[in-house]
Amino acid sequence: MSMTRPGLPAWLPAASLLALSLSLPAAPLWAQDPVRGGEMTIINGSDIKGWDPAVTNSTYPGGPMDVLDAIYGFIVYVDVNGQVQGGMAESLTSEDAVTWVLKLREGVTFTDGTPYDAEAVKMNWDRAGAEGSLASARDWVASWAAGMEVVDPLTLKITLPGPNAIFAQQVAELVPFIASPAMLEAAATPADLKPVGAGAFTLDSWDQGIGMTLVRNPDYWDAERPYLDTLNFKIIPETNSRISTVVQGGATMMAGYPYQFGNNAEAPGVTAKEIPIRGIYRGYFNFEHGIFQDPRAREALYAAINRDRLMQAYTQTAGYEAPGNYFGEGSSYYTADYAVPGYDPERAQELIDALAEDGKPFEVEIVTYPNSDMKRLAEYMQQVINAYDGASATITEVAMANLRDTCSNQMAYDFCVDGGALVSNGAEPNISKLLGTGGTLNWSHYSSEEMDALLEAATRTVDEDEIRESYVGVQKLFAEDLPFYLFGVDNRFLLMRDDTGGVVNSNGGILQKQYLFKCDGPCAE
Amino acid sequence: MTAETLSGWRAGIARMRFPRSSFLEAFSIGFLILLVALAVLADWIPGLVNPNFPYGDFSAPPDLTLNGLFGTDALGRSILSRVIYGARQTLVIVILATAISMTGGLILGMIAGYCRGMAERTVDLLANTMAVLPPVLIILALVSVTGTSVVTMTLTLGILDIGTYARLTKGGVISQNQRDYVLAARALGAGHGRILFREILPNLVPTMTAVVPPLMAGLIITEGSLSFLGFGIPAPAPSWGGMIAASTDLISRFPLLIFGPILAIVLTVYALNTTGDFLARRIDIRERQI
Repeated sequence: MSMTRPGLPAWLPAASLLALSLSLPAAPLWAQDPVRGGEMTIINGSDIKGWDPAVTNSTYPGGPMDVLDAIYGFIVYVDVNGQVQGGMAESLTSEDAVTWVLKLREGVTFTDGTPYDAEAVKMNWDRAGAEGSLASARDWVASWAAGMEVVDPLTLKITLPGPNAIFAQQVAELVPFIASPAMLEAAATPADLKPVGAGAFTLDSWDQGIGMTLVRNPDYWDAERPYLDTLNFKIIPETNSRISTVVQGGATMMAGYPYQFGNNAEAPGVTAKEIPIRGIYRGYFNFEHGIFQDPRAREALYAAINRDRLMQAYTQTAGYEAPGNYFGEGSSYYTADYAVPGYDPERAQELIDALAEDGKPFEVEIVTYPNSDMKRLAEYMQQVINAYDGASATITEVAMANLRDTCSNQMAYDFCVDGGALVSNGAEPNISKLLGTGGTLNWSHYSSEEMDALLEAATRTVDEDEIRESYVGVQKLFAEDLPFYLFGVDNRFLLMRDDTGGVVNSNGGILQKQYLFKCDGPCAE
Repeated sequence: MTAETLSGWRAGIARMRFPRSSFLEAFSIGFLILLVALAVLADWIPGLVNPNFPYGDFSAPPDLTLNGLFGTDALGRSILSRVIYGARQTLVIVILATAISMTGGLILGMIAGYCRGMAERTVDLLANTMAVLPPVLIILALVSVTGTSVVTMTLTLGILDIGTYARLTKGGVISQNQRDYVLAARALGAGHGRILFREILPNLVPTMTAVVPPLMAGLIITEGSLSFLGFGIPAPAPSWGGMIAASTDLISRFPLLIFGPILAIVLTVYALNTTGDFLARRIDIRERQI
């Protein structure tokens, strides 16, 4: 098994973006014809906190947005090739990247009978961008919410304050869910919000933190789907327990990585399916305090540790190759001209010595959370760093829920490692979140006017050559500034029963539940 | 000459003479001697690698080399080396904790058993209170305030066992206090200090020696449990419990990772308990002879 996953082709060929016409996505070909009926159970690691459609998170499979998608459905989504496709809406298109037109489907209604129309979408997005909104994308929505205009019940025009060629991708990732305005208006507090959407399923029962049962929405706009009658979500926080549950037939699927599955992927009745969406493993340098403010220290860390071995220690699986830059070789933005420093222990020692001579001892506090994989990763880094003369590393563990606060807000670390591969289905929106000043994923607090300008330039043009030129510049700057520690790439997998059909991933790998069906026998695609 | 005609330290030592032992008892005593020797002399064992640096591939299976005897752990470190150096850490904690609890317990127990009355009731209350405190929970509460450290763990383990030693000592003192040699010493005008420390204390040594090994075994399990839970010896220093904890999520893929530290704990606890039984049996024989 090759563990080096090429990046995806460009997600945004300008022509396809601007001429985006999104009716039904082409029906995927299955190993057998879809079967109506049946029940499936998806295991997630954590439960949702509530039904607010504006409170969204990353769109990885097995995450909290899984449930919201089943209830509300993505208004548009990004397919595995990086193309924006219609979901609950028919299309979201633009001719000039400034004026965007959302075309809705006729006859779509929420489960309370109210229409899923342009007014409903406008009301949801106004709410997401309003003062006091709990939406993580509140500021972003607020920046364009005033430009919304209801043209007719099925058409919403959005005029942005400036060109933004990735607006549709951002909508798919940040504000994809629309709930019934009647329900939203009736809810006095977030706790009063009810799951009233127009998605493929409706809520039947919910035991928070344990699981929930959803049943088929008989009024779903795509009358042929969903195929399943019942979709269950089961919450099991511990990875090995999730795996055992699938292997023993107690659930249909879970998301994870091959190194976690081990031989369980070959158990009878079980199969593993790759989600072809590149994800990156990263650690953050503290750009505000400590040794990594000095670029020599960042280079020293890259040179000091063999990242192939680091990934092997982390996953206990051989065959990884360290990525050279943000984009993989399969991306049309990839360039081999610029790469982060490779493993070079002599160079690392030189840099560590030079830092020491300048009164900057290479003393690193590694902050992570006490998950066994993360501990192994941190301990490997520690033992390698400690092997260099004049270098030392300590490990501080904080609760997983506090990691973001400790690292991104308090900046109480030298080097901070977050777990899991960050899915970046194409360049945006994650690349700006990671590398842009103030980006929500930019825990390093890296700030470069040049980088910001390049990222903005890439989103303001629809010319493919100009986009590529900007991203080549981003990679040059990435290799020079080393904004974070890019130590591996990997794709997520689904561990699932082999009679699972209709697996369609979108965005960061999240499943399109309306396509799921139960095969008559093994039907691994 | 028999022990009954002796008094003081000579009598105590006479009662410690070792009886003939079974194979398992001999094995246990031999294992403990070997373990202590390896732990003390680890730095000088030819060819034994540093326990904190990679020796081979990650999670490699055992081979017939010295460092590969138990294979390597998930970070490529020799498991044998980490078991031996982990023994050093464990033994230091357990021996120091035992010294603390034994010293405190002997002092309190002797006062309670000799003075009786209010002193006895106070020590009993203290011992009973300590007996109901679950050591793991107490230490978890402490390290959540002070952070994980060997000093915190050693002190807490030592203090929590003071009650056990105090109760045993008190019983021993009450029993010895009415013996002829004590009455004789008192009749000859010996002071309380002389009676306690020159006459009674030496005769408590055999009894205390027999209870120390099983109590140490309990400490090893507690220390291992704390390290397993991540509240023991901080990484990267090796500890048996920590090694087991680091291997649990990989056990389905690399089951042999867990073998070395588990074997070390099982054998050490077994050897300590067997040695304790052996000593207790021997002391019973000598007591009956007396």
